[in-house]
Amino acid sequence: MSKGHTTGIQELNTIQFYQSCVRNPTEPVNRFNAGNLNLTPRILAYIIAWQLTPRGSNHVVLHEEDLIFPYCIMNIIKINWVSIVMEHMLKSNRLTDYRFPYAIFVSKLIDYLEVDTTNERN
Amino acid sequence: MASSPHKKRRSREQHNNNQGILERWFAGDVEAMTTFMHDMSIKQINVPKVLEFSWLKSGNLAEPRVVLKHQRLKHFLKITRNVYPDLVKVFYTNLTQDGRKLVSHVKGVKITVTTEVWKKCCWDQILKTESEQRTHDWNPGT
Repeated sequence: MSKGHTTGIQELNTIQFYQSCVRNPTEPVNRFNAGNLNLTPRILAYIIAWQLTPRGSNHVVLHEEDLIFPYCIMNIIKINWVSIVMEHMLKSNRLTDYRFPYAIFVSKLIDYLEVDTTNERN
Repeated sequence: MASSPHKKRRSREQHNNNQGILERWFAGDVEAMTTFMHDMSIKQINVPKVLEFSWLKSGNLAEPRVVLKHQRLKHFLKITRNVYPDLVKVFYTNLTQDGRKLVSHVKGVKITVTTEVWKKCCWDQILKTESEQRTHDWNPGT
């Protein structure tokens, strides 16, 4: 996520937030890892990595947005998910090492717009 | 070793069949078919995942349930249905951005992804009314 996207949450310090979410705050932070988090942020981190901005691998390692999203969600800051999802669709399409996300949503769109799906693999 | 005439015929039929399928998917758009064959067909689809909110409830995980509901993500996260992996790839092959909309074509049908489509199709509760938003919004990229 580019820096421009963090408008409105400048108060977020990712390292401090990560340390406030870990089970053992005395441990030094070598890298952001979902396995060290408390229950709620850990569940949110996995939901983000698997469903909201899904990626093909490294679901345990937290990227910057994996900390920004839980921070916003836990602090009741509304996120424009439509914009996030659309950007993620374009990004996944552009980058060759990304997989195609939101297969359920796209399939629902295809049915919603009555595209002929006879004999299509599903 | 030279291949048998049967194999050659079968291979030619398979090729013609694949070409026919591609032409149907892309409505004869040669450029899109070439992109699909060289770049997109090898990319994989993310395995769709579904969150069972009943599991959060039964596990006494009230906090994640409440915060996710507040983001109006419940419907999007629990949605489940059959997927069309080939047509999903066709959709992404033709995907372009038009201002704040995403536009694609599948089998010659134009698919425009707008906020309204989201609301109707998948995210029916995310943007109910602006007045319902209790705290300040964070709109990335706007």
